[in-house]
Amino acid sequence: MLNQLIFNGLIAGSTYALAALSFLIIYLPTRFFHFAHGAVFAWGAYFCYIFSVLLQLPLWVAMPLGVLMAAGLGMGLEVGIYRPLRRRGATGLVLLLASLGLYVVFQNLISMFFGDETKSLRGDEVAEGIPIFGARITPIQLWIMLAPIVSFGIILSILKFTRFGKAFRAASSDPELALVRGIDVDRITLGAFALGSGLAGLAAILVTLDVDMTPTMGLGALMSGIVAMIIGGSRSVAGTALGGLMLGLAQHLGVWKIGSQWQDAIAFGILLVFLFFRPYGILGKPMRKVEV
Amino acid sequence: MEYLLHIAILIGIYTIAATSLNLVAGYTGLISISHAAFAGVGAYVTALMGLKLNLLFWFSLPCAMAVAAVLALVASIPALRVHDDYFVLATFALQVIATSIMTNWVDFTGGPLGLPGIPQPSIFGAILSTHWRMLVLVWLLAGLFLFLTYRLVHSPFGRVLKAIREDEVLVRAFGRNVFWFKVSAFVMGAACVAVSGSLYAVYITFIDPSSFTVMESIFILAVIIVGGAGTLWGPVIGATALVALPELLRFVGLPSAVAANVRQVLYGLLLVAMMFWRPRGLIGEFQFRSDYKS
Amino acid sequence: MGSGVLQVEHLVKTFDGVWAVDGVSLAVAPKRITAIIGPNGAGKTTLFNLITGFLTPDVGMISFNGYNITGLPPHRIARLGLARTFQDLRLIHRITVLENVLLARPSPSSETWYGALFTRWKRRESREIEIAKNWLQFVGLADKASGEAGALSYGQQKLLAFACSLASEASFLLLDEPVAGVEPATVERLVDYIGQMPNIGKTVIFIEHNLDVVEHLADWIVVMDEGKVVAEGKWDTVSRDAKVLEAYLA
Repeated sequence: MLNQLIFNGLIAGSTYALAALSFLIIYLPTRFFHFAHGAVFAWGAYFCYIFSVLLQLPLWVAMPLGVLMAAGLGMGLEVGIYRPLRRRGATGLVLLLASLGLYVVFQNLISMFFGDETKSLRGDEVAEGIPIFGARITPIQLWIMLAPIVSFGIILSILKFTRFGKAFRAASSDPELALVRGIDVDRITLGAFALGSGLAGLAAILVTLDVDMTPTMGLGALMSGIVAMIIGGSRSVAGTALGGLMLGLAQHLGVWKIGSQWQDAIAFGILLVFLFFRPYGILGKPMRKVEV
Repeated sequence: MEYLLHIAILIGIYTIAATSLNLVAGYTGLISISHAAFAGVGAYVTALMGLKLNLLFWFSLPCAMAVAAVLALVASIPALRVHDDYFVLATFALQVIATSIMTNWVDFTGGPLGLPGIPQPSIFGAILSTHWRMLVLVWLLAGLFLFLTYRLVHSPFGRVLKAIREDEVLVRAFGRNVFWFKVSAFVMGAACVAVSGSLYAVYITFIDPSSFTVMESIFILAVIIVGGAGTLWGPVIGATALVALPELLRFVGLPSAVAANVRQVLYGLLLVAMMFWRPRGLIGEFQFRSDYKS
Repeated sequence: MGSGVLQVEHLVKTFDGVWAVDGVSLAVAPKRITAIIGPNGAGKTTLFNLITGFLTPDVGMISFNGYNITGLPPHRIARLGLARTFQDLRLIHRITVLENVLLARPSPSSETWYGALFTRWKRRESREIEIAKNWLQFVGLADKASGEAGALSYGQQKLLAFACSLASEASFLLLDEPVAGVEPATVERLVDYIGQMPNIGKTVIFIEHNLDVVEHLADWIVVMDEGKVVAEGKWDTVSRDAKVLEAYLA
C-alpha cells in the first residue's frame, strides 16, 4: 500500500515537476509570472484532443502536434500581447494583470468550444497495472514518469550546450548585463515562451492520459507548478524537479492520512510553510532584501 | 422591472466586494486574487449558520466577517512575507485551495452541488423576500462600507496605506511597521468582502463553489481597474459597468450555455485592453515597485 | 575609540563575494557633524543601510545610545531616534508636501484601523499639521505645503526630505548625499540648516562628495575606500593624508 502511494506520488510529482519546469523556463529570463500559462497548459491537452479524437490521428502524431500548437500559442501571447505592452513601458503589474485577463479569456474559450465535461484521450481499455516493487503501474503511468525525466534531460542539455542555452542562462542571471553584452533578450524571451509552452502542453497531455482533461485543469497544474517552483527555489532546474517530486509525494502521502479532499490544501499548506520559514526555497538563495 | 432590480442588487453586492478589494489593492497596492475565496467564506458561513443553526442573518453576518478575518490573518502572515509577484502567487494558491475545499469537503459544504434553500433575512418578522427590500439592504450596506472606506482612507492610517503602495521602504524609514499595516488592510478587506458573499447567499438563496472561483477574483480586480483603482467611487463605476453591460448580451440572443463564458471572455479582453489603453490612467495610482532588481 | 552615541564595531557585509563593508569600526560623537567621504563603491551607503537596519551585517555590532541595535528592523531603529535620507531621494510624489512631512512624524496612536474608524483623530491631526508646517517653514517650503511633492524642483525635494528627517524628532540624522545634484543657492541653504543641527541637540552623519561642503560643515571626517575606513580626523589632517589622496586618485 505504501509503495503504491509512493509510486502514485512520484507519478504526480513528475508531472508537477514538468509543469513547474515549463513555468520556470518562462520565469527565469523574464522574471514574469505568466499566469496565462495555466490556459496554455490546458490548451495543450485540448489541441491534442482536436488532433487525436476529432481528426482521428494516431496518438503518436497528435501528441507532438499538440505540443507544437501549445508552443505556438505561448509564442503568440508573447508576440501579440506581452511584447507590445513592454514596448509601451508596461510595469510588471500591468503585465501581470494582462496575464490574468488572458487566462480568463483562454480558459473560457476552451469551455465554449469543448464544453465543461471531462474528456479523454485514452483508448478504451483500462490497462492492467504491471507489478513493480509491490505496486501496480500501468504502461501509461510509466510513460508519464519517463517523459519528464527525458524532458529534463533535454532541457538541461539545451541549457548547457547550445548557444541559445548559454544566452538564456546569461539573461536569467542578469538581464541588464545580458543586454549590454549584445544578447537579444527579446529573442531569448520568445524562445523561453516557445519552450515553456511546449513543455506545458506535453505535461497537460500526460496528465490527461492519466486522469483526463477539463477546461480548469490548468489551474491546479499552474498552482502545483508554482508551489513546486517556489519550494525548489525558483532558480534552478534541479530545484524545481526536486520541488515537484516532493510536492507529489507529500500530497499523496498526506491524502492517505487525511483524505483526498485536502489534496490541494496540502499543497497550499506546504507553500505557506515555505513562505514562512524559507521564502527562498530549498535550493535558492535568499531573495535579495530591499534595494535601498 | 424585477429584472432591473435584480441587476441593481447585483451591482450593489459587487460594489461591496470591489470596495473591499480597493482597500487592499487600490489603496495599499496589494494585488490579491483571493478575494472571491473570502466572499465564499462569508457565503458559506452565513448559509450554514442559517441552515444548520437557524441563526438569524444579523448574527451570521458578523460571524461571517469574523471567520473571514481570522482566515485572512492566518493566511496573510506568511503570504505577506513575500512581495509583488510572489504575493499574488500566494493569494492565487489561497484561492485555488479555497475552491478545492468548497468543492471537496462535501459533508460540510455540500460539495459541487452546493447549498440550496438558504433562509432569507427578516426584520421584525418581515422577510426580505422581495427585490425592493433586498435592494435597500444591499445598498444600505454598500453605502456604509463606502463611508467607512472614506473615513479609513482619509485618516492617518489611510495615509500610511497609500504611502506603502508608493514606497514601502520610505514608510519603514519613517518608523512604521509596514507588515502590520498590510496585514490590517488585508484582513479588513477579507472581512468586508465576506459581507458581499453573505448577501449573495441570502439573496440567491443558493450557493455553490462555482460562484467563488479564481475567475471571480479576477473579475473583482477587473471591476476596480475599470472603475479606477484607488479612488472612492471607482468600485461603484466599475461594478456598474461590468455587471450591467454584459447583461445587454442577453438581448443579443446567445445560447445560455455559452453566455456565461462569453461574458467572462469579454471581461478578460476588457482587462487586457485596459492595459493597452489606460494602464496608467486607471491603475496609474500605483506601480509595482520591485524589491529585487528586475 | 571613545564612546559615542553611535558605535559600530567590526562591521562586515558581503554581496556575492564582494566585501562591500570590510571590518568597519566607528564611533560617532554626539551633537557633532561627522562626514563620511570616499570614492564611489567605497561602501558608504551600505554602511548607512547596515546602521539603519535595511541590511543585516554578516559580522559585527551596532549600538546606539548603549543599546544594541544590530539586526533590528528599520522601523524599530527609526523609532529609537535614527532618521535617514536616501541617496536616490525617496519621497511620496503623489501626495502633498505637507502629507510627506506628516508621514515622517512619529506614528500617532490613531494610526490604526480602529483609531481611524472609532476615535476622533482630527484634533490630534491638526496639532500634527501645525508642527509639520513649522518644519516646512524652517526649510523655507511653507508656501508649498499643499502642493504635490512631485511638483517640487529637485532642490526643493531635497529640502523636503531634510524637513522630513527633522519632523521625525530623531536625535540622530543620517543624510545620504544631502546636497548632491542641487543648485548652489539651495546648497547654501542646506549647509546652513545642517550646520544648525548641533545647536538644537541633534547629531548628524552625512555622506558627501562635495568636499567644499565637507570642509565647511564637518567636525570630524571618516574616509572610506573599498569597504574599509582608511583615515579619520579633522579636515586638515584628512585632506593631507596620503592614503586619502591615493584613494581618490586611484
